Amino acid sequence: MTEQNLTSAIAEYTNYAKENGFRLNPDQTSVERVVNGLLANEIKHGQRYCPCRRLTGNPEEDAKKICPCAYHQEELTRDGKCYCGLFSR
Amino acid sequence: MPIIVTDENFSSIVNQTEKSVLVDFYATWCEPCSMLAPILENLEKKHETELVLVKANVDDTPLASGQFQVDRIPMIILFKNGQPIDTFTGFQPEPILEEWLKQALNK
Repeated sequence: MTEQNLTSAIAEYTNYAKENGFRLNPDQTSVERVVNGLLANEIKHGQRYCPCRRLTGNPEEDAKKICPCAYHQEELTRDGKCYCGLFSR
Repeated sequence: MPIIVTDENFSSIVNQTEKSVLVDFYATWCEPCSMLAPILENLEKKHETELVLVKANVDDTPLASGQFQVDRIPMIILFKNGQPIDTFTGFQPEPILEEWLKQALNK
């Protein structure tokens, strides 16, 4: 993981959030920790799986955990943030 | 100080009967896990006569994580005499956690 990869990924998720009417967590340290986790999972598992969800080995189930995951919209509506703490309203 | 476990020693640690065992299933890059960790360590200090804190990195405990259906992390399970008594998932502030722990320890 390089600083450039981290910056690029954060920009990517910033744009995604903006396009979908929410934003990144205002705590930059938290954002960097989550995105570092996503990039670590990309190196280790080939996809940017949520670092706060355990992979089961079932490809269909695990595909739901690729960020932005299948649950983030519901969590943003319900909790004001996604479970991993990357996105917030 | 928390005890670090792997699948190899998970059962022997959790099955101890002298104290209740609070297992923290976590991952290195998990933000809510990092936020929760110091709170759990503080609670262990407050309840040190009856509680031991165990840290289970899900990468090092795939069997135990699967056995206890750990999906989202952090997932906390309180064991008494080797049996899971209560559980919760996600970050919670310390006062809420302390109340949960007191009730769970009395079960």
